[in-house]
This record gives sequence, structure tokens and C-alpha cells, in this order.
Amino acid sequence: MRLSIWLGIGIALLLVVFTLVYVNVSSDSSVAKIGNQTLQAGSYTVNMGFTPDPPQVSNTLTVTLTPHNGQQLSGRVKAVPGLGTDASTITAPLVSEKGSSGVLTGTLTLPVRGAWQIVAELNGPQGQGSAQINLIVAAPHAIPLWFGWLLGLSPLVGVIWFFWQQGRYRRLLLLMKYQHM
Amino acid sequence: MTQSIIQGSSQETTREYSFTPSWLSERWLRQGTSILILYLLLQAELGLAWDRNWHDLVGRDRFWIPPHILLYTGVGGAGLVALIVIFIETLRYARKHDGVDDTSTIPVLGYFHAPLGFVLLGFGALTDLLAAPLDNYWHELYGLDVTLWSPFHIMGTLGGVILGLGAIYMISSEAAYERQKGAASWRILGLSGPEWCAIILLAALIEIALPSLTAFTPANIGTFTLLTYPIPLTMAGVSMLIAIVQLTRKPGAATLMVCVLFLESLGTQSFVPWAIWTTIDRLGFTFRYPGVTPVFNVSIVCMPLVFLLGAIAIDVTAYRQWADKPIDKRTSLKRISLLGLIAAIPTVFLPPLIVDFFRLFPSIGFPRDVLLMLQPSWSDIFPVLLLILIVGPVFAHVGSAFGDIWHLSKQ
Repeated sequence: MRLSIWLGIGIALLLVVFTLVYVNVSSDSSVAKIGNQTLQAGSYTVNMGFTPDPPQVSNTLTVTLTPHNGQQLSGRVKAVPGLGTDASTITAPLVSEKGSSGVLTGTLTLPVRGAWQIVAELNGPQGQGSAQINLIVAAPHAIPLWFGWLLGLSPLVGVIWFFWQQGRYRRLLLLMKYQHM
Repeated sequence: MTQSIIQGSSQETTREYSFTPSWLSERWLRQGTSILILYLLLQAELGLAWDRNWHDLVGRDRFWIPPHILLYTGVGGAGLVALIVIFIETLRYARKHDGVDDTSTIPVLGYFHAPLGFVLLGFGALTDLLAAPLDNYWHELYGLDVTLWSPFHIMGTLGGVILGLGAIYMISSEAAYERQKGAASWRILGLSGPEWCAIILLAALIEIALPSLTAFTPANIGTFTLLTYPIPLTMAGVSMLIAIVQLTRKPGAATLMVCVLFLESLGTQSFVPWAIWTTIDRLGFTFRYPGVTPVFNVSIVCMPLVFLLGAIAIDVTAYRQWADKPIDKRTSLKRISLLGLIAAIPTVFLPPLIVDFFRLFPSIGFPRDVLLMLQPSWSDIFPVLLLILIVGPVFAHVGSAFGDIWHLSKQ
């Protein structure tokens, strides 16, 4: 009986650990690369690139904007959740890279996989402008739903067993304490 | 060897207990670490309340947000302290240290020996710490606002239940030893230190259930709506109110616990808006929805009133049953089902009435969810009332059973 309990706990722990390892070393390879895109933001023409490409969920995503003609720009970058993505908008400032001719970078961490829109809002000598690009954020492979529930509910077995065992323990305690009364 | 000898008055203490320095050092170790763990768990609970509001108002941009740090350092710290105590107790058991034997510890994995409470705490903390990265993974896959009923929220909740149970076993066994010490134990309002800790802890466990007012949304079944918020309120409130009176065997403990619950609730609801504003300003976060900002949740602060009637009924029953008996002759509380009913019914009616009362004062701000959720019609109340008439007595018996164990067990 006792051996089977510890065996059960051991198996549940192993499943959890294997799942953690699996989801951390694997990622969805079906998401396509974005590459360097040329965009028009008002009067400014810029190249927008991403590192890593394709973006990975919960990893730092660096957005690099390279203005054509080396113009000095400033602004911010926003990540707006796309259709079906349950998240909120994230904003980061664009900063100039030291020693580069007008290259701007902004860092974002996208917390949920799926569709996102990256919007660059720029200010410069020719006024304001914005440009956006749609992308898909890759995530670790999803474990099957039933397996998620199996892992999530696994401690319940221990809780039920404990309640049952404590019921017997209570009867024993009451017997020892009050049998003379 | 210096030792004081006290003649026990109860049946179980017909032999003389020798309070040797090593026995007392064991009490110091267990009670000192119990207080430390109680602090860490209260910290974790505060982190949980902050986290819940943070998700609603700010979002969940990353895992290492300030409320998660408060929450998981509390859980991890409690687990670590429990682990250290398990190692020390195993060593003391092997050396046949006074007060560390098979009556005060349980065997674990065939090698370790430790009090049951610390073992449960260790497993609870481990469960929660394993659930955390898996929950983060689930959010990455399915979004920020996944329902409470996701697999790894359930896993975290089960870990919390195990953690809470462990903490009560840890504290209540020390309360049993304090009763054994009799006059040698200091008391405030007739309650020993561990009994006060038990009241604070059980009140904190009820406090976790208070946000169910808005977290448990109504379920539409066919043509009628089933309000669900009274169910967790009843489960937590009724069971804990009866358990604390059974644990201490002292009338008044339930009402005292409601007062402590009120103070804890006031503290939490004062802390959360302040903490959100402070971290938003200092760390550069922004609110999710323009104009939706944290407010002092007066409805949650006053929610302990829901349990006051039940607490008084339980205490009066306990007084009538035990007033003329010494503590070791006080058997289990009677009329448990009736007490369960009396304590459960207000959980259906009072929350909307409390909110309606405060709405008479337009200057009092309410969180959005409170205004949306707590305006049930009378036709919605009837189905859940029927359910509560079953849940109340059932959980009263659960609380009573655990209260008996916590009163008697020294493991």
C-alpha cells in the first residue's frame, strides 16, 4: 500500500518534470520567418527587422528600425494583440543605437503566442508617421489538453487519499481520548 | 538536570510530563518555525490578492511581476523552512531526542521522520512551485485571461489546499502540546500562542475565498441561473468556523476569528490598491483599460459580516455544551448540521445586500466586477439556496471532523 502511494507520487512528479523539460526545449517550427521589411511611416521609409526571427513567446524581441537616408528619428514601438490573441497592448521606447547612423531599437516581451501587430510610431523633421507589420509569435509545442488536465489534477488523488486516511485517524483519536467517558 | 514537572489533569496525561530542556527546545523549534511559516504564508496570500488585481488592471506581461515575486517567495520560503525542519527532525529522531518519537512524527519515504504538518507543507509548496511554470506555459499558449478553471490553476489551488492543511496541522499539534503544559503556557483571552496562530491562519484561509464573490460567475443551466459565489464562501466559512471551535474547544473562538478575518480583509484591501499604484508609478507599467484603476474594495472588507451570525450561533452552542466542563472533557460539538445551515444561509443573501447598502453612498467607489456581479434577482437566489442547504451541513461536518483531529493530534 505504502509502496504504491510513493510510486504514484514519483510517477506524477516525473510526468511534471518531463513535461517541463519538453515544453522548454521544443518550439513550434511551423511559424515562418518575417525577414527585413521595408515600410512607409508617413514621410519616412524604414526597414523593420526582428531578433529573434520568428519571434518567440516570453522571449525578449528586439525590433530594429533602419531609416533610409540616415535620418535622425525618435518614437516608440507598440505590440497590439491580433484577432484571437488574449493579451493587452505593450509599448516600448525606440532608442538610438550608439555609433550607428539613425538606427533605432526597441525591446518587447510578447507574453502570448499567436497573431500580433507591431506598430512603430516615429517622430522626425518631417512630422509624425507610423507603420505596422503583422506577425505570428511562436510558442512551445502545446501538450494535449487531456494531458494538461491529467497533470493539473494529479495532486487531487493525494488529497482524496489523505482525507480518507484522516477519517480513520480521527476515529482512532476519538476512541483513545473519550472511550472512558 | 533542571526540569519542571507538571501533573497532567486529563486522562491522557495521567503520567507525569517532564518538561526537560531538550523537550522545551523541541517546542521552541516547532513553534518558532511555525510562526515564520505563518508569516510567509500570509505574505503569499497578500501576493495572491495583489496578483489577482494586477491581472485585472495591469495585465500579465511577464512572469516576474511584483505580485508573483511576493507570492512565490512566500510559498518557496515556507517550503524551504519545512524542508529544513524535516531534516532537523530526522536527525533528532535518530538521536532519540526528547519529544521526537513516533507519537510526534510520521515516517516519510522510509527514512525521514517529521511532524505531519511540515511534511504536508513541503508537498504543498512543491506542488505550487511545479504548477507555476506550467501555468505560465498555459498562459503563453491560451492567453492572459484564461479562466480560473485551467489545469494548472487547479493544480496551484490544490497545492495551496495542501499547504494550508499542513500549516494547520503544524500549528494545531503545538496547541495540543500547550494544553498539555497547562498553567505553564501563557495565554491571551484564554488562548495559547498556537491557538492564536490557528485563528489567524484559518481566518486567512476564509479570506482567500472572499474574492469568489466576483471570480465565481453565475452558471446558466437551461432556463435558470445558478449563482455560484455562495458555494465557496460556504465551504470555506462554515467549515473553518466550526473547525476553530472544535480545535480550541473554547466558546468565543468563532466570533473572534470573524473579527480577525475583518482585520485581515481590511489590511489586504488597503494594501492592494496602494501596492498597484506604487509599482505602476515606479516601474513604468500602464493600466490595461483607460480609466479603470484600483479602488479600495469596501464590499470585500465588510464581507466577514456574512459569517457573524453563524459564528455567534456556533459559540453560543459551544458555551451551552461546554461551560461547566474542563477542557479535556469537552467532547465534539453537537447539532453540527443545524449550525452549518445557520452559518451557510447568510452567504446567499448578505453579499448583495452589503453591496446595495454601500451603493447608497455615491462617493464610495466599487471595482467594476462587483457592480456587474452582485446584482442578482430573487429568482436567481432560490436555486443556489437549495444547494447551500446541502453544502452547508456537509462542510460543517467536514470542519467538525478536522477540528477534532486538530484538537487531539500531536503529530
